[in-house]
Amino acid sequence: MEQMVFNVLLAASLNLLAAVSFTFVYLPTRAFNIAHAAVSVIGGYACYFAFSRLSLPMPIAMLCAAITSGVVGALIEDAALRRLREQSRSTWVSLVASIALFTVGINLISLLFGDDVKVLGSGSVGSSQSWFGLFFTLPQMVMVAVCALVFTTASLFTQNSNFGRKLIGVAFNPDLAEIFGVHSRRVRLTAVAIGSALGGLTASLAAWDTGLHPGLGFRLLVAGIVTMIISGVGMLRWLLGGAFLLAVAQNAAAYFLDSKWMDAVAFFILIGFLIWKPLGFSGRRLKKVEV
Amino acid sequence: MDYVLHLLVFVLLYGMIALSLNVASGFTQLISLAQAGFFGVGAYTTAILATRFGWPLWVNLPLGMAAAGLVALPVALVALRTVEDYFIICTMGMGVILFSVMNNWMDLTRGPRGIPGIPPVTLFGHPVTAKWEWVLLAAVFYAGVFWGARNLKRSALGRVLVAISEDEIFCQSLGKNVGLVKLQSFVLGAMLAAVPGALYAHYVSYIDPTSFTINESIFVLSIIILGGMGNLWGSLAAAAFMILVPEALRFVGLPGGVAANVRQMLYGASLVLVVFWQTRSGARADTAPGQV
Repeated sequence: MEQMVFNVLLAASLNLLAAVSFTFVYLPTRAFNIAHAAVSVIGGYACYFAFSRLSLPMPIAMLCAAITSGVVGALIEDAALRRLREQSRSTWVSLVASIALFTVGINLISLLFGDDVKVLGSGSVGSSQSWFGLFFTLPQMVMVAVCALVFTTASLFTQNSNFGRKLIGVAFNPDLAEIFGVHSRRVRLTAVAIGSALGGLTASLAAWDTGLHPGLGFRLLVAGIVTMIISGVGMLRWLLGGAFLLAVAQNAAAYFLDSKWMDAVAFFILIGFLIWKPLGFSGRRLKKVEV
Repeated sequence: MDYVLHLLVFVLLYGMIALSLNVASGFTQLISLAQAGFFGVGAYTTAILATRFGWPLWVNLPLGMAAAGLVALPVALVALRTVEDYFIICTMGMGVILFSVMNNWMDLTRGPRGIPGIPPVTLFGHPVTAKWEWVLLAAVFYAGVFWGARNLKRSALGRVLVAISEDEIFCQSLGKNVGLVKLQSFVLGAMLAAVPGALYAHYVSYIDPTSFTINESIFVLSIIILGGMGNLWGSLAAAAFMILVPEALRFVGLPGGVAANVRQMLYGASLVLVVFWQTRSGARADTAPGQV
């Protein structure tokens, strides 16, 4: 039982990291960016390259991952998605373009590194730690700790910093923010870069625990989107509830059914919330409900 | 020559899927990423009935269409409560769920092992096995699906669908049941997607879930965006472009595994370029519903 609780905590940590990173990308643009999956996994492979090929320490490798993802995400946003949102008033245009960029990115990764699962480590099977009957590994403990640090920092940053207030302003009323002198384009780009960097960090942590492959980014993206929607877009603190709900549901599905149904369970939860509780936990209105 | 005919068969099959997506999404400008799932429902229904009971295509096809329609109905009822990009996310989720069912329901679909040994189509006692016979058969079915889609577009329902894409609120104010109309087009599109699914199963004689993933939905979406959303003639031309042009990679001498990735990158890149071109030229694909 305790092990299952820890497994839920671990899954919730990953969901929360993915949701925080995706929220930073979604909030200022109000557009779903599927290319974020490719951006995240590019960071994961940057970490793999830095750690396994260049033999850099893991913290430095993860920093490289965050920087790489941040730069790539900002480039995609500024060069492609921002222009499409400005030229077209249909939101699906940038979404379709992001899907196309995701396809290009994932296949580029597959071309360069292959589709096999890459292990971030020495290659030998490390022993797990045990503490009062709980079994965990070093990557898992680091993931939980990093998640707590990132979530706390991000929440305080958005609520108390000058940039955080500008971000909220641009997210909820961009025209008014412009009137008050906020450079909304710069705020959006910075937020997307931060979100992309966090995505790269998330992918690196997940890869360090379970291995790296091109499909990892999409799985993290799904977790991030589902967590964000069921939490309701608003303050970051609401993501905590959504992350735990998703983790409990997926682990319950794995325990009572089979682990192969976990992806489907995530979308079942999403669709269930869209029908019965479209405003999510926080009650913040999105444009989900039909006019 | 057989290889060229094989490519033509796939052009016609994907042309039919693109037509079905135009019916489901192209007329109303509601992007759906679940079409590969309905294509798969048609294929699996045909494969299961053909291998377990030995039923012919003429029995399996209507049943496959009915199955796809039945699956699409709850999907549409859920997804049509959302709008714009949330609708896309919802249909993407539905596509993932359909793939999970195909991949994990071992008793029915054999999961990742797939269903082998699907018998060929029999026409007046003659098994259709030659490539040129398949081209003719696929062309006949394509003509039928095209005729159905064109008549739908010209019908009262089709005019309402197009009107919804231009100004949904105005349509509602005129007393049109917009929700019901969108539901009908979505379900009809799913049923049409089952037609190439049934043909695909008989043509390749083996199906597995990997043929019906989100990547296939994205590929079909690329076809209709490239051909012009709602443009029925453009569906076939775009399908031909998307299938035949990457075949030129074979003459470049790329290894098989690399060629597959490069092909996918070409699809993605062409979709980005088309989207940029259409937004710049102010084509119909840009027009948001409700805009003056």
